[in-house]
Amino acid sequence: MTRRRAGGPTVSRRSFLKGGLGLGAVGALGLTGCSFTPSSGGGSDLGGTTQLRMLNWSDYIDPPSEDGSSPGTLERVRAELGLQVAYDESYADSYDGFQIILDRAVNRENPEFDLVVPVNWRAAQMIASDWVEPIPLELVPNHVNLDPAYMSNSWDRGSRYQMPWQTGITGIAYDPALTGRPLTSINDLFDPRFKGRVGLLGEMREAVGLAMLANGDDPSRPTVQGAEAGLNRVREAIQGGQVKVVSDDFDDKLASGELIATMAWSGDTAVLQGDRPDIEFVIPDEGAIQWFDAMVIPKRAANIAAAGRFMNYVYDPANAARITAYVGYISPVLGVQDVLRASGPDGVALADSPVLFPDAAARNRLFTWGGLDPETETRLDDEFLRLVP
Amino acid sequence: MVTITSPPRPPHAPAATPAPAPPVARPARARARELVARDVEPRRWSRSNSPGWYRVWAVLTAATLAVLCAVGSAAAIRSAGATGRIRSDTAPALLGSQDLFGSVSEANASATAVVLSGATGAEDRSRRSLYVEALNRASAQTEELSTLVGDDATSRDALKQIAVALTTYSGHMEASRRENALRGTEAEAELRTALDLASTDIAGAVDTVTERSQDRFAEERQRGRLITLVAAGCAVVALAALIRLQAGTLARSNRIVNLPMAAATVLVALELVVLGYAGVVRSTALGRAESDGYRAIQATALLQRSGFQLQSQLSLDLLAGQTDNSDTRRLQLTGSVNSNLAALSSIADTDRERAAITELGIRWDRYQQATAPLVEGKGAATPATIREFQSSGLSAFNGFNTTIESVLLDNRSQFTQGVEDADRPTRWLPWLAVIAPLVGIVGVLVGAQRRLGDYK
Repeated sequence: MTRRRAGGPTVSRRSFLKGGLGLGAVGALGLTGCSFTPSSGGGSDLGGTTQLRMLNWSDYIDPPSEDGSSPGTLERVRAELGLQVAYDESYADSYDGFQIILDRAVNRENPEFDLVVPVNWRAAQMIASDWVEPIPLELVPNHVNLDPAYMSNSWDRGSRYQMPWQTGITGIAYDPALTGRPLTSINDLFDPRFKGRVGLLGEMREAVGLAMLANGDDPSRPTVQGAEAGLNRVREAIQGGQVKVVSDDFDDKLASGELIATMAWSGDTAVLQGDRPDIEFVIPDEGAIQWFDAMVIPKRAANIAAAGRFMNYVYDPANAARITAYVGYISPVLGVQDVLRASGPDGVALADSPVLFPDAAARNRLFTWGGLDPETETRLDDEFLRLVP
Repeated sequence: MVTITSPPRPPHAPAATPAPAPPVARPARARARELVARDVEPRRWSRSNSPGWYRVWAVLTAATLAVLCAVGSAAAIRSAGATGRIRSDTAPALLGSQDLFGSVSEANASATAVVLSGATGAEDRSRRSLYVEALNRASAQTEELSTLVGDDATSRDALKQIAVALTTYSGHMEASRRENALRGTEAEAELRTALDLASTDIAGAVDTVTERSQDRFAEERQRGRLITLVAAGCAVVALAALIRLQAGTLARSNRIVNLPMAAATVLVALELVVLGYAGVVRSTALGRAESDGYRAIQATALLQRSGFQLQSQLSLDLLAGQTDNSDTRRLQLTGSVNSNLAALSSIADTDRERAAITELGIRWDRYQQATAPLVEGKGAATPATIREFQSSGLSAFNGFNTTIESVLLDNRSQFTQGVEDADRPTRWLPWLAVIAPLVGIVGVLVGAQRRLGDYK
C-alpha cells in the first residue's frame, strides 16, 4: 500500500505550491508562535541534531517543483534548520513491509532510522512493545498544534510517543456514470448488480471495519464476534466474486472503468479527482474508517533531537499546509485550513474540501479501528491475508 | 602444660591423725579431669592470660555477630518488605486512587456532553465512547484497588461504597440520556443527581482511599528507616568488637595479622557500609519520588478535577440556559484551574515537563477562547450554540485533558522510578545481613582457634 501512488499531483496543486503558501499568512494566524532555535550541541541524551534518517511511505511528502522555483519540504528543512535528511521511501505496506522497520530499526542495537511512519495500529503495537522513544517535547513546541482528535487514543493518551503524519479516510469512491445512481451505503458495494466490478482494499482493519459498519457493529470498539461477522462478509464477497481485492492501484482501475466502485483512500481519490472530477468519494451513511500514519522514534535512535526538530517543523501549520496540498490527505495539524484559505483561490478550494476537512457531522461518522487482543488480531490478519491473492 | 604435685607439709604441722581408710582408688583419667576442672578451667577463660583473652573475646564477638545476624536480617527483611510493599501495593494504590477520580471526572464531563449533544438530536458518538470507556476504566480501577489495599478495613469499605455508587451513577446517566432522547423533562434532574453522586459519595470515598494510601506510604517509609538504623547500630557494635579482637590479637601475636579475623572485620565493615548506602539511597529515592513525582501527580490530578468540574458545570449551565459568565461556581473553578496550573508549573523540574506544562497552558487558553462566546451570551442555549460548543469547545477541552494525562503519565514515571530506585538496593540486603555475620562468626572462631593452636 502506498498512501499516495507515485504519479504526480494535479496541475492545480502544483501551481498552488508554486504560488507559494505565504509565510506571512501564517503569522497572522497566531498559531506558530512556537519557534525553535536549536542549541549547537543538542541534548546529550537526545543524540544528534543535524542528521536525520527517516523511513516513510512513497510519494508522501511534497517534492521541489519541477521548474525548481519552489523547494520541497526536505529542501526547506535543510535550508532552514540545517538538518540533513536521509529520506527513505521504501516503506510499502503494514504487513510484509513492516518487516523493514523490524529488521532495520527495532531489532538493531543501533537503528538505521531515527524516524519511521507506520500506520496507527502498527504504531500502537510498537508503543505497547516499548520499541519507541518518547517524543522530545522540549524540542517540539509545535506539539501544541496537534489536533486534539488524535490525542484520545487509549494506546497513547496525549500523544506522548507518536505524532500523526497524515490522516486518511477509507470510504467509497465510484464513477456515477457507471453505477447509474449515487452510492451512499457500504451495502452498495455488495449490490449484485455491481458484481465483479467492485474493489476491496487489502487491509484487514479497513475492509473488515467497513463490513462491520455495514453489519451495524462498531469497529472503534470491536468485539471478536463482530469482527468475525465482518470478516465472514468480506470472505463471502471475495469468494463469491462480488469484489476484487485491490491495493494502491484502485484509482487506476476506477479511472479506467475496470472498477465502477471501490473502497478507497481519501487522499489518492482526491488526486484522481484532479483529473476526473466526476469521480465521487463518499463517507457512507454507516460511517467510514479513519486511519493515520504516525511518526515514531525507534528505541535507541541516534538522532532523537533531530527527529524532534523535524517533527516540530512539519507541525508548523505553514509547513504542514504544503504537505497537505501535495498529498491530499487530512492534516492532523491545527491551523492548516486557515493557512490554505489565506493563500489564494487554489488554497480556498482545498480548504473547503469536505474530504480534507470533514465537518463535525462527518467526523462523527468516522471510526478508527479500536483493536482486539493481539492473538485475535493476528488470527484475523492471517485469515484475511489468505483471502488476498 | 600442667604439672600436678603434692604440696609439702609445713614443719609445725601437727602429727597426722591416723589416716582414714584409703578411698577406693579412682581411675587416673577421672582424677585428671577433676583437677583440670578445678584448676585449669578458670584459667582457660581468664582474660589475664592470652589464651583466655582470645577465648573470651572470640566468644563475645561471635555472640555480637550472632545478634547482628538475627537483628540485621530481620531488619533487612522488614526493610526490604516495607520498600517492596511500597513498590507493589502502596504506590500503585496511591496512583490508582488518582486514576479512579480522573476516570470518574472524565465520565462526568463526557456524559454531560453526550446528554448535551442528545438535546440537538444527534448524540456525540465519540463522547459517548469516551464516557463508556471512562466508566469501564473506573470500575476496573476500583477492582484493582481492592487488591492493592490489602486488609485495610477503611479502604475496603470505601471501595465497596464506590462500586455501589458507580452502578447507581451509571443508572442515572442512562436515565438522563434516555429522557433526553425522548425529550423528557427529567433529563437534567437525572444528570444533576449523577453529578452530585460523583462529587459527594464517589469523591469522598476516593479521598478516603487516597488518604489511607498516603498514610501507609508514610508508615512504610518510616518503618524501613527505623529498622535500618537499628541494624546499622548492631553492625557498629559488632564491628567495634571485631576491631577490639583484632587489636588485641595484633598486640599479643607479634603483630602477625590473623587473616580469618581480618576477613570477618572487613565483611562486617562492608555490611555496615552497604546498610548505610541502602538506607541513604532508599530514603533519597523515596523522598524524590514523593517530592518530584507524587506532589506533581497530586497537583496534576487537582488540575484535572477542577477542569472536569468546570466542563461539567458549563454543560449543565448550557442545558439550563444559564450561560451568564458571572456564574460564581464557574468563576471559582476557572480560578482553581489557573492556580493549579501555576502550582504545577512551579513543581516542574525538567525541560520536558516544562514544555508539557506550557502546552497545557496554551490548550487551556484555547478552551477558554472557544467557550468565551458561549458564556458571554445569556439565555437558553440553542441547538446551534450547543453544536458550536461541541465542535470547538469540547475539542479544545479534549486537547487540554489529554495533555494533562500526558503530564500525569510523565509524573507517574518519575514516581515509579523513584520507588524502583528505593527498592533496588534493599532487595538483596537480607542475604547480606545473614551471610556477612555468619561468615564473620566463622572467621572469628577459626581465627581464635588458630591462635590457640599456636599456643599449644
